[in-house]
Amino acid sequence: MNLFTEEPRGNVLVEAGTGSVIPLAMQNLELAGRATPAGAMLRVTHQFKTEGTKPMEAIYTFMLPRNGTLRRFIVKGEDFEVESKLEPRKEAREEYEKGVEDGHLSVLAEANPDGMVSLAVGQVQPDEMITVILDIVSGVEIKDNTYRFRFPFTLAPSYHAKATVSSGGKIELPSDVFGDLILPEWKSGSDGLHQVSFRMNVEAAGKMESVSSPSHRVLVRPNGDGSADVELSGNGDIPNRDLVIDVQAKEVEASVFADAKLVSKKSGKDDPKIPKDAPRWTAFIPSSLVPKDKAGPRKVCFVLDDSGSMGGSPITQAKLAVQACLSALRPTDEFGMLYFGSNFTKFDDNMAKATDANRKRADKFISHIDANSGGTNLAPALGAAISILGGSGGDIFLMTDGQVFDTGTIIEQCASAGTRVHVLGIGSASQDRFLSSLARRTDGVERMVGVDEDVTATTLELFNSVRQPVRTDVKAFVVTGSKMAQEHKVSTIWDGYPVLLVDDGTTGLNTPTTITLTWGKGKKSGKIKIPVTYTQKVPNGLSGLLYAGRKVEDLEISLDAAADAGPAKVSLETDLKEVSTTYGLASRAMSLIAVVKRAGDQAGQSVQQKVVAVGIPEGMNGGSIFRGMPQMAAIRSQNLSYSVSSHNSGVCGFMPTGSSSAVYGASMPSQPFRGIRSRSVVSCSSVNWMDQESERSENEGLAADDVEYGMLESFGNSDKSGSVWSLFTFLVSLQSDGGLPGGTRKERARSTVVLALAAYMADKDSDTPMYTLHIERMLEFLDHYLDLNTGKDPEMAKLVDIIKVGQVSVGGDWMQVFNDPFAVLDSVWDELTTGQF
Amino acid sequence: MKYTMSELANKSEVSARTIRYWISEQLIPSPKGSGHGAFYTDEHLEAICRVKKMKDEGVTLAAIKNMDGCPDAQTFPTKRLSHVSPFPGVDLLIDDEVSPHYRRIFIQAVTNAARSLQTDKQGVKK
Repeated sequence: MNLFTEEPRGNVLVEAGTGSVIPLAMQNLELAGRATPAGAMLRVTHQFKTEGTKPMEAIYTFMLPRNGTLRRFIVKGEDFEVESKLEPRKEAREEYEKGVEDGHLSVLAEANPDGMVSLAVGQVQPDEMITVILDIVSGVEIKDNTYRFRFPFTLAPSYHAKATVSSGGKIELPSDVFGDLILPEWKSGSDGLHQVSFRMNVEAAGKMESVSSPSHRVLVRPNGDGSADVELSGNGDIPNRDLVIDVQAKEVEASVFADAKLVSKKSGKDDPKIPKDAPRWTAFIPSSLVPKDKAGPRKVCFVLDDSGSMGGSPITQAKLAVQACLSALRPTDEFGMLYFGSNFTKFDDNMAKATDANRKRADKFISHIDANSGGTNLAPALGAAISILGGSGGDIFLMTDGQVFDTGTIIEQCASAGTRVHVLGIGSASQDRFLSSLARRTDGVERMVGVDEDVTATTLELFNSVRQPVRTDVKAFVVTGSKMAQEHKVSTIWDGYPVLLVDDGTTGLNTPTTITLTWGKGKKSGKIKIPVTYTQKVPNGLSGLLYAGRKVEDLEISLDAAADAGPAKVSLETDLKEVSTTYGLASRAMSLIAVVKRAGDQAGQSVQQKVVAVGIPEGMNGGSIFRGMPQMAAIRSQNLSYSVSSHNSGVCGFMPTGSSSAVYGASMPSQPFRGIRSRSVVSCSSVNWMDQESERSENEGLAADDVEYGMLESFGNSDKSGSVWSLFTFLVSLQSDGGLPGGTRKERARSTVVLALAAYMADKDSDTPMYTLHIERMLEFLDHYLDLNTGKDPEMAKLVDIIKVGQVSVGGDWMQVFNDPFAVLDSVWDELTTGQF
Repeated sequence: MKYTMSELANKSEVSARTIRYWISEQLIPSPKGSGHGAFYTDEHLEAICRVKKMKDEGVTLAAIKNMDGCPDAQTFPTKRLSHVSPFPGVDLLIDDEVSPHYRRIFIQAVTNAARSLQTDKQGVKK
């Protein structure tokens, strides 16, 4: 399937009751493309039309995805199709303005700070339909055996100290930083919003295990080549959240994603805009292939976003998650903590030992957090965290929605301090680009979760991953088919996060065959040689474009933080221009412009400007920024009107666009023992892919070749009594010696071993274990108990061995333990020791 | 004096895009003339300069729009305040940017003071 050549659907929105066309500047946005673990190539189709009697200038400001850059656009009308050209920013703007003044159709795409792009389409004549197709290259959030593709359909209203906010959903940014950038108006409902849809082709790093979307209702169609097509179920949705697609691989192995022309060994058609010496492949080495270093004491400073935009479920879950993280620390570990909104509040000025007394104080401190501290003023908070760590190593663990403007300064501030920042991004428009850059530039790692997802579980997963680097001071030596080697500096490997090596362009058309990783110095040094067993074709130029895109992003971040008009700034601007020109990518220095001279264009015609609106991100408390605006809970496409083809004179397929139903179809728990609410997943086992689909389809009354799966169930208040909360709440109460509180040491040991078994069973067979650290702490307590009672408690010793050895399942009704551990610990102990469980 | 959009932008040092935005927000008048004969005048130039001045002083566009040509009536950005009544007869307006921690301390202090005053008045406390 060639996703890049299909025609857009060509719909316009009409009133459900009257059938009259809704006067929107932009009618539709349709995303298509191909996502791989190495990155994604996207094509975004926008349709502009004015129902007024005057020519229109439409302004659409949107956010780029992570590591995203603009390549080009094509502008299409009834009898023309023109491709953009890349021009220096100032010249492009002048050309655009002249085009508008001369009455010509003019289209301009300009990159702005924070990854925002403004697309201006000037001189759209009454009743004229103009289509602008943007090509975007994007990164993905990658883990060892899974990756997450995210595309922002909306833009998060964010904090800036000098921004002014109007109650009607408008934010004005200071012109000294943002120039004349016009932000969209944020709408609290679906009125006045364009329609969005998507069709993506996704591939896994190896055999595909599953595809799922926690953000949208999707249709998934497996292809014969191991990839799958994913598209929105229904006709359209509203732009009030990111699209998120998770793709999971079945097997973890070292892989290479190389340009199709390298893999097929044919000269083939190459992208004319990619330089000959551009990177051609990306190698992928799962962290699980690297032996882990021994864990030592840790120092971590938690930075928790308490701004109004975190209100509701995110802040509640984040608080519990921090408490769970604290309970996984040893008394010899040190922690710091602060929460912030417009200002920040510190737990202590310095790091504190994780003793019972300090944890108790921390619990009280956390209880004050209520998402009522104003805007997301992140920079001073991170500065304070760096100060708390005191320059003696340690990591920052940041939990935020990242809703802040002027992010380049923040990233540079942390990068220059040399402190690693691990980031948990929360929100349905969670500023993926900024937060992933913040983690990458500080040698940290990140996860992004939506408000419908399990923040607490993901926090613990991330905390487990970053407890200790798998290896530091890592170098990679890549040997290619021609026996030529490339050396790469990797720095740090984190548990669960693969090493990604991008070709440096020196080995021509050869792909890697083996990769040797070395680490440490002297006695702590080591190495491992990994054969590359799997090579996958990706679109020609993808690795090169992603490489260049990251360079553009890094230069832009440095540019934001550079002093005004200094020599450093001039040098950065020169570099940016050069990378942009070499790879044909838009940047802050270079814009994309097209001017189309149509027959009948008249100079001097003024245009009526219309700014394209977007939805307040779902789940966000709109009132925290715009006074009087309600919280946006699951307002999806239920209020959109009907959709009708504009290319047909007659009505073509009147049908409702989506429904308000939050959950569709049966769900298949992917991790049934974790005590977490189940998530809808399309299983892609090569053996029974279609069988499972058919079976599920029959159950749901759907056609066998189109399987529709639902979104995650909302993690609302009603779920907080659920099992995951019980288990977390229990783990939070672990004492500093690793045991549960209360009673005699024997009683403590018995309740602790049952809880440790429950956590072990919850994590068993999971790709992303949550309770590793807690289990380690509980085993330390139990080992100490058994040492003091050698041979006196054989049942206990047996159960502890089961956990230590791993692999073995302990049958029984573990759900009762997850659901209410306090009520059943004694009886479960009795049942376990008598074999009745 | 008649201006084209580019002349107006050059003269006012405000970009054409921003001028069109302010026109769409009804902060400055629409161009005079119609069709391809549209033009701008000194009236537009003055309005642009006025909006620009107020915006530089931190006034929101919404506030400028509501001023009816009286630029000095409101030259400060509006603050978001929360109304709290911690004790009968005591009403507080607290800046939303105050952290919850200090907000609690402040409300507690005011409550204690009010309670102390009341008990003094009732003669319970000496």
